[in-house]
Amino acid sequence: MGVPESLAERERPHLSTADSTSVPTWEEVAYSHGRFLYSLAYRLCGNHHDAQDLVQEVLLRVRRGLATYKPGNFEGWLSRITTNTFLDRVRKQKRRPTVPLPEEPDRVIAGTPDLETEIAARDLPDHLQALLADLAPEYRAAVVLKDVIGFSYEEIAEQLDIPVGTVRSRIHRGRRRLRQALEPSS
Amino acid sequence: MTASGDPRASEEPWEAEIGALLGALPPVDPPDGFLAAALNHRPLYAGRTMAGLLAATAAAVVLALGVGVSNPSVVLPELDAMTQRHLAAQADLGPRDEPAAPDGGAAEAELTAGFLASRLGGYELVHVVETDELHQSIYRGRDGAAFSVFVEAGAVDWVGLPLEGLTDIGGTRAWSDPDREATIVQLGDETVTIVGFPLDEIGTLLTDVPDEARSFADRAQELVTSIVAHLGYPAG
Repeated sequence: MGVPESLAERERPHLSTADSTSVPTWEEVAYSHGRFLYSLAYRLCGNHHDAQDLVQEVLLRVRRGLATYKPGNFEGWLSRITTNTFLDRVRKQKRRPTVPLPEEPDRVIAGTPDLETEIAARDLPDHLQALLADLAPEYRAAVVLKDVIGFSYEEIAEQLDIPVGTVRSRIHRGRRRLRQALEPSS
Repeated sequence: MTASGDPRASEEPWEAEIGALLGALPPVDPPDGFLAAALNHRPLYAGRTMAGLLAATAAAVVLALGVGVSNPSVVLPELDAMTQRHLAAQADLGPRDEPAAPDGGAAEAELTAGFLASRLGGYELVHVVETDELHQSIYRGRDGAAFSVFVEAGAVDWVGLPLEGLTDIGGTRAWSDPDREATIVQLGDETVTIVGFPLDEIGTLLTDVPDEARSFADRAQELVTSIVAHLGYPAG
């Protein structure tokens, strides 16, 4: 299986308006990075309602933060705000502590092998998203930033303000849970 | 992203496989109108959460203070006013066989400066109106049809325009309203609004653009070429 292009790489044309030496306006952030922000928010939250709330709050924080932003890794800065806002909201709401993965996820699809493959491929993104949403928020954030967005371990450690070893551990455990949930026997 | 070697090289195969599956997840588009609502703090999404409430409150404060609406570097074209100005100017031109003289020689002066194209395809520059904030050039075709090109200093306020009109013209962001035959693009540091443009004749604009007229003429041609490409018209 080849290594896919990360979300950040796919969104590169949208990110290119803000290079390392310029500070975009708030509106430019929304329109140039809106899809990036929303994708990240959706992958973290797992549903559109929470993603919309999260992006709204992130945009408010971005607006405040632009005044003091120092040119650098802009998408890293946006990602840091988004992820930390997400984790703050989770902690405040305390509505979703660590939730174990379902014992027997419903992935049985009747039909011919080809049809099964086709349907499974079509439904895989939604299925993966559902599994992501079942991860503990801290694991989910690390896995999303690493595998969906494409940040390095070091960048994630900086964004989450935790040691690199902790980042590696969270990503490893998160992936392992996803693997277990995806195994045919589960 | 920071390059730190191939991080998957030190991972177990199953980890790389999970990572690859996640990396293939597609981007997720926000719902139509969401970003505009979020930026303008419209109540569309407000009220459901504290963030929404804060957004609505911030909007009230912004409106009360009049902050953020007078940024001179951002332009929100007043399409209704422009349409009226275009129609008025078109009516003032008179019949096609009595071409109106350029306004006080302003058009000739602009032509001399190489700022405007005297002719865009079958359309001739017949009138120029200049104010401190706005430059209006009116072109008229052989059949009497006319369109206006408004140029304003400043970047387009994309946030203030309805999202449904946002489009992409040859890789350049644009906004269009087919009902009003209005198209807005940003060329350099200027906002260019074309009103009354007969889209079905757009291909005819591609001839007779003076070679020596750089700046606006060339940019206008570039715009038109982009529009032609976007609409699938022949570029000749």
